[in-house]
Amino acid sequence: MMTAEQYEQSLRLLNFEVYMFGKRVENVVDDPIIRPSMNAVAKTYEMAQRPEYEDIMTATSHITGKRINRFTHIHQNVGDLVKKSKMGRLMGRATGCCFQRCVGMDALNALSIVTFDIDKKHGTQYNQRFIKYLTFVQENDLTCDGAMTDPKGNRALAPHQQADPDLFLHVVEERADGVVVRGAKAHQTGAVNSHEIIVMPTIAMRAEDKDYAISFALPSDAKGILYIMGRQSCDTRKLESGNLDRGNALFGGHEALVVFDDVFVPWERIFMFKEYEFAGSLVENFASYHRQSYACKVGVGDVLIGAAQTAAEYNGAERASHVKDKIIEMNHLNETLYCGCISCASEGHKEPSGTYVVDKLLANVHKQNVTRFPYEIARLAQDIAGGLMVTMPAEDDFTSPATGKWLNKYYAGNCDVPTMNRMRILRLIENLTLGTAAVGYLTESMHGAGSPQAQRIMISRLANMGEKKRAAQKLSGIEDA
Amino acid sequence: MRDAGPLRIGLKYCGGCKPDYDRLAVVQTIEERLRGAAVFVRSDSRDLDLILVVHGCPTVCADLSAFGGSTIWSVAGPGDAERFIAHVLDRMQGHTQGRTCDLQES
Repeated sequence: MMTAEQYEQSLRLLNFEVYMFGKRVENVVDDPIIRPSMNAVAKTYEMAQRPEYEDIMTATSHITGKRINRFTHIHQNVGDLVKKSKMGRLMGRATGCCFQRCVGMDALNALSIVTFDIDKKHGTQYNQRFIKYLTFVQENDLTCDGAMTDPKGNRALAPHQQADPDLFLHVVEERADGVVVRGAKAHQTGAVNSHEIIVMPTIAMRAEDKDYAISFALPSDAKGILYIMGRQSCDTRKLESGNLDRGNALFGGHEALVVFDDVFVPWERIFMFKEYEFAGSLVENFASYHRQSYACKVGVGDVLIGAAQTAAEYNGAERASHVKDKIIEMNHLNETLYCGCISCASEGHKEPSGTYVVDKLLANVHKQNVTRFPYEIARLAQDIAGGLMVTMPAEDDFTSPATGKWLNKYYAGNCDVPTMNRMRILRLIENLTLGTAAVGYLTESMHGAGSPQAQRIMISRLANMGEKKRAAQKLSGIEDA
Repeated sequence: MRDAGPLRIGLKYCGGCKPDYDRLAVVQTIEERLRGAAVFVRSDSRDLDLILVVHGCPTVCADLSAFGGSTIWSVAGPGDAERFIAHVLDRMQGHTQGRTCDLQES
């Protein structure tokens, strides 16, 4: 396994083509806006090395028998699925943000199932290819981006019907040694912190869309791949001196649009090629795993609840009954989220490939809750924090000889607490509820791993209404129930 | 019966997903209180007298599959740690007085 330092060094060896604010980013690792997101991924390496976390952060490879980072592991039993949920909470609490590495883990696990299923039907060799690739990932402890979301253009049209065929990533040329693909993947979390990018189709497909039914993996700096970084609220605070106004000075996340400008993919890196009838299965398996992955928001919720309690104490309001009740409500919501991600793992089952997959109904129910509860937790945190969270002057004003004395005097709360500590905890709440980290805690909770309606469709499909009706009819005395 | 040297105790932690207390601080306390009576090493070390498993909560979910046949003592909070310290000190005292050292968890 790599150390955090080795991981950082490995990124420096990559030749990414990254753009931000209209300019090429020459040094991605040290860029002050991107760097906190690299720190968050590095934390997944650091914690795997520490005895007090290794029971969750590491696993035994079913291929080599070696100890590996759990983020590269294929779930071999229900215990692995449960530990994945626990790892999400652990990492969310350690970083207070998206640590970006679960998406690659989810892509690997989904492919371990679907490549097996394709081979069974078509007599192909995808699973063998995939296992070889997985071994490479595990042996080198790589971070993988799982790239599913196409730009999608007009949502009413299938991929082949789009005015611009590139709005879904597709094959534009077949060669003896591989294929050439063109298109893009949007909202790619952690893309420029990843060694590899694993591409999957974004929706179920029909025969007309077979050129879009492709899955493959490439080095993230492969020729023709370029990255355009997304903005985050308050992102340029990371360019300012000091660290108070950043809220979380250590960690963050990032998203990027990844453009595939006629990129060559060798056959040995292709795991699905025109088997369109399996696109939906790959999407569904990946989405189910990834909806479980939102256990991370419980860990971030731990941080926000801790911040709200601290703010209440700094304000001298922690004994007020309504404040206590709000903290109870925040914990209730947060632990309800945890119930969902633990239950979908605990009710997991073994697929024919040998990989264990979560209970898909419960995973979708969990993610549906994630689209809602963090918003309410954030609302309560802002309620407890008070308006100063958004009216507070800048760090430079607190250190200025002209204004610092006034700010320290008039923004004091509990006299036992330095004013600056009170400001720090308020800035963290701001960061999590409307700053850079709100991208991960709120809007990513809404749309990441599928927008709310995607889960409702799955809940509708997976809820066994026939059995519910039969139970009701039997109890009511209806014959032949 | 082992010789009179300090106990070699292998430390094994659960993963710490949502610990109810500071596991590292409790282990530090145990190490300080048992200084001279025990040395603490990684749980995959050789010639261990026992494995001390530090769980963060009553779920006690640490993976112990690698420790078949070993003597295992689990703590899941500061209270357990106090009992462990007292037990080791008591047993070590008994050992120095010529009694057999019994480290089975009670």
